[in-house]
Amino acid sequence: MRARSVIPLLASVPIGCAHSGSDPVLAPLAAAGRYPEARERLEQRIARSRDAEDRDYVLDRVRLGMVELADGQVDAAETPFLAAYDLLRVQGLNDDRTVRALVGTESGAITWKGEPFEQAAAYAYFAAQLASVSDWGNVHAAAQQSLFLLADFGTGPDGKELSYEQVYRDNDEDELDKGYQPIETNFAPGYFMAGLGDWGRRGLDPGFADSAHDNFRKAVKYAPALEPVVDALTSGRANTVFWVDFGEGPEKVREGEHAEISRYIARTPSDDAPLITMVNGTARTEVALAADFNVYAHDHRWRAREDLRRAKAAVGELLAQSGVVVAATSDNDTGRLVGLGMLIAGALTSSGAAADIRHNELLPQRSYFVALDITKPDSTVMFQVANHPGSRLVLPAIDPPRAPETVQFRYTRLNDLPQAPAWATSGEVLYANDFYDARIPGDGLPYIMGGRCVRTPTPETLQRYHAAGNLLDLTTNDLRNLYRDEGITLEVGEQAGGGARHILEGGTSLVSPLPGTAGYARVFCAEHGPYIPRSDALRRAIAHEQEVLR
Amino acid sequence: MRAVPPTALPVGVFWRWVIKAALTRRRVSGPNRFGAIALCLLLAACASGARPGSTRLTIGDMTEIADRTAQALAASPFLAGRTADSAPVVIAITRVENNTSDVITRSEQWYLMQAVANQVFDLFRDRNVTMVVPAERLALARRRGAIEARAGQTREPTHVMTARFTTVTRSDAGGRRELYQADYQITKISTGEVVWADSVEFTRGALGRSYN
Repeated sequence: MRARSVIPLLASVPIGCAHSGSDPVLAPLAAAGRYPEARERLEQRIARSRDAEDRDYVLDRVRLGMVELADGQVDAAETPFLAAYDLLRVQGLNDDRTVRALVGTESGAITWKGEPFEQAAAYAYFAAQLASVSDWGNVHAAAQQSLFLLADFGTGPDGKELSYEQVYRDNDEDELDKGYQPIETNFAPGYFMAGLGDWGRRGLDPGFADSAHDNFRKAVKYAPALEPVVDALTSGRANTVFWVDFGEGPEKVREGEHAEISRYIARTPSDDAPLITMVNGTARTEVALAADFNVYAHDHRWRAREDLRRAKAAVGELLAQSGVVVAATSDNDTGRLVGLGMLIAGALTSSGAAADIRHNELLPQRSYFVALDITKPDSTVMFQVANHPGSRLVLPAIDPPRAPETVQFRYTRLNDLPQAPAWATSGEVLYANDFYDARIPGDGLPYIMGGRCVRTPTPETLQRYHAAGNLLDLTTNDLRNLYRDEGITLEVGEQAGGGARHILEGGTSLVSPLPGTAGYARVFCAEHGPYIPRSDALRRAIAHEQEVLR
Repeated sequence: MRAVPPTALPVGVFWRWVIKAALTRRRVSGPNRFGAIALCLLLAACASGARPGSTRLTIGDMTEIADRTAQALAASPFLAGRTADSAPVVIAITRVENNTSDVITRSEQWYLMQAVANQVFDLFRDRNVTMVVPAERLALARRRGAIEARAGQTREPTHVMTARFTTVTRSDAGGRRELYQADYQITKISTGEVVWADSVEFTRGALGRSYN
């Protein structure tokens, strides 16, 4: 009776959901600057994971935020980052799921928060989004979250630092909770961004400048390459900070008898190649890298959960072995049935012991921080990682900070290709947009009507068209309605708070990417085909305009 | 002062005991023990567990802050001495300055001001106090083409209403506690005189490891 009641219950234990958090296509898309395609893949995933109970909820949103940020859609990046942040900030979210992970698969039971270095990075990239819109108080707050204490298990008899695996193997499992010293984090990007958040708002309170210096000192302590960046910024010799990423971050793979151990392997190898920078074709400088994610991935202080993976394998083996013993030695049917149940449960648990290899494959291999002094409107900045000619990226249309701001921030992700595409190296803005004041041939008419202007339809924009002798019969509202008739969105709020493909690239959005980003260069520095009207209203407006001009 | 939300700690300790029991071979000595452990594992798998927590401001927190601040403003000497015939006061509101250790989004920062303003709107009107569109929002609307360039040029505020949120954070391996302080004030622009100020304090707590 007892056996009959236990075995069906064990059989009903969920083995785990078939979540496939990783997407091998995302990293190559990002490496080629093809962010609209990456966005669309992630949006399809997110459409299936709208519930915060979804185990990939955070992972999908962090990756989407990073894609939007790299694509220059800084306002659109806030929505996914904030959603991920809200869940990352929930403490102990997975505390009560440990045993569910034991009887299922870890990825089916544990809400992905990432390894500690991935969590720190998620907070720092959210801070980067907030810095891109000069929301300095929140920059500090988000970056501060990345500066949690790390676990240091000290050194072994050989004088080398102990790993989690060593502590687990040589000690009771309680050591994993008690046998370490909490130590200050060495996450330099977090300190730097926290300092930048304070520096950006120092005008509100002198105390923020002091706090900025404290954070900058820590950043330099753990990444000496940041010293000239901090000096230039705090001495007033720079007003613009770039966070420049390059390469594909490490990949998480399984190892061990039951594939219960995860390890990170480098995709883009680490090296010390500096970042070459130029402003307006001069002032060539070289900047050393500030963060290497291959290094974080191999540092035991930035890893966690190996204990769980070991326990899963151990429990699975234990149950299976014990089940065999019980079934073999029992002198009655009930005992044999219980043993059989344990055997089956053990086999299932061992099969679920495979390590969770979900990871943020959009993390870069390395990060550089650059401080530049942008004094002229429409300045052009060039970045290239030394010995990687395919990473060359020329970024036009960068203005000095807009008052009352005294500092501005941009996030730039370089391509990781053998050869740089034409849009990345041209540096020539081919379409008039909200961030570019200089005249462009054809900017006296909207792109949707055959011109080269994709500015937001404001009274000022319409004045430009009128000055060119075009659209004299149209008001601003008429023009805005034409865009709406075409299904074109004018601001992020009309896109459910998210990003969308730009009309120049065949999409439905008129929202301009931010200058200083790969997205801006790809959208505005490449030649695009003519717009094909979708609505009768636009076709009539074009015919009317041609009639008037005739 | 608000109570700390329910903790996940006792339940987490129980589950850790379950795992430890399962891993400690000497405790597994017969079918009954196996059955008990298996049942524990099953129950653990099926259980919903305790509620995890965050110290980030909730909508409920924000509503309560706005309610308490609006009540304080309505009862303040700044308004008590005014009538419909008093000299006009024009207040420009700004968004909350976030000096806390957690993110308060821009929309939340505006909400925390707008919610106060909405609650005293009728009272303000009866006391010849008007509120005008904040300069920052006006500029944004102009840039987006949502309003004409000349809109709002005659707003001429005499006062400004500001708010600053700060926190003191205490955290350890077991959890985190935040003491929030929300300071609101109205300042006369011409003299810099603070004509009204109020402060709301409360705590938020969460147990569990931040990275888990």
